[in-house]
Amino acid sequence: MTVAVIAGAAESPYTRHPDPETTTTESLLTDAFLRALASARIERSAVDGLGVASFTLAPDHCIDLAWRLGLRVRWLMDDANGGASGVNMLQHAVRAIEAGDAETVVLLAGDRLLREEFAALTGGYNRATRDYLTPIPVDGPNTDFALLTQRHMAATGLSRADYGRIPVAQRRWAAGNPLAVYREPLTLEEYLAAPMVAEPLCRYDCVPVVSGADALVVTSADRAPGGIRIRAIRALHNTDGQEGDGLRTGLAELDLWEAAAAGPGDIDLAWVYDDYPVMVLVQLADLGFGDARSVLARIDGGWPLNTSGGQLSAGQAGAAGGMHGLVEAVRQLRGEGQVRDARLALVTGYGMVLYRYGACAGAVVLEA
Amino acid sequence: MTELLVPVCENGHAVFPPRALCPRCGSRDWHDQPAGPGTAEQVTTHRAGGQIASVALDLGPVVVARADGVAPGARVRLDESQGKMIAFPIS
Repeated sequence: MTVAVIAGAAESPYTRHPDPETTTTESLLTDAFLRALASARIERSAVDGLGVASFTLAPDHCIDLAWRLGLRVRWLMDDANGGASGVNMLQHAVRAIEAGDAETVVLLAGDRLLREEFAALTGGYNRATRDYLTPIPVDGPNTDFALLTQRHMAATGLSRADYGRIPVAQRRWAAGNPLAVYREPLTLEEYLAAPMVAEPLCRYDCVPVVSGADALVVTSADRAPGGIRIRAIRALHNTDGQEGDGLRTGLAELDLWEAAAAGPGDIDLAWVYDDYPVMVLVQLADLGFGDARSVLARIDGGWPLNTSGGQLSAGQAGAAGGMHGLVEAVRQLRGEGQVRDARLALVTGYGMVLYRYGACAGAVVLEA
Repeated sequence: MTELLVPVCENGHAVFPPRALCPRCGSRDWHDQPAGPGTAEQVTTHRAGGQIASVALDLGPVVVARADGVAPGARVRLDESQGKMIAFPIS
């Protein structure tokens, strides 16, 4: 059987305040596309599949992008799953390669988000949000995750200072990622003194909105013998119809470790979707890494988690947030980052807040 | 402002926000029913001012609403106008 691998990965640098005259969603996606092809040492003419996730490409779709990039393709995918889009597109692309529907797929995710574009995105995220949250009004997803973090605090006994250990640790990693938008050290004292956004969330609990794009090249191991292998990839969405407390995701019900023939103890580095610190702890608990306090102790000890700085330091470029972790894990597995001799990496995706918390969750185990 | 109405299926299952099919029984036969009382479970204060609560209705669904002057654990009723949900303490 054909084995699919990730042959290349790249990020178009994130920026806080792009010049709208020169930076568009298409220019960012194009930049990531070219960087990923260069990373994979694959020519544009070899690409016969294209997938894209973007909140701001509309009214264009994937086929418009294929046209503008000059690609003849046998496989197309428009993904609309935000923070879960990277893992979701990878899952589909792997099956397409394995089945022979395509030979070389490029997956793109990214957005240019000016202030007013971000407000329009969060206010009209879906009909439930547009009709029943935006009129209140709420502060985008910050409100929902403030309420969720309060539930998590009640369930675990954690304090604000405990959640702060995550952005503080991730900022240490960000210092080694030239593409992170925030790289200067962050202390717990600065975290605790930061302006509140929605109690108990402060500024450093909320991702900086940036513009940028990420890209992956997926092809067969025959074409890219040194590529990163996909040991297992699984997802589960809308597990509880938004009728629970949001403190458990679909990751808790995956057979990821069985499929990977590995366990949490085998993982050399992890990239766990960090739209808010609380969700890092929730997802790691779901995947069997232990309760919040034991995970925090590992994070304090320098465990390679969200080594790009995570979205909390590197920034969240709209739908690119769902692919950023995959690009970072590939960078580390190739020995291009700070983590030495990493063989197995975990990457998760999480997102699509339907009304009170994210409904989508997926995870992948990558192997160098 | 009038009391929030929530969709209830023919078998008595209440949901909010509305669904196409009842998640429990699959019914698509809905009618609206007054939301009735609920309990403010968590309350957050926004940087822009004002409080927002997660309100668990006695009917079951959880509704996010403006909730100024509402403390966690308080019993509330929900009014609604064009999607703007407001929780008032029940005295």
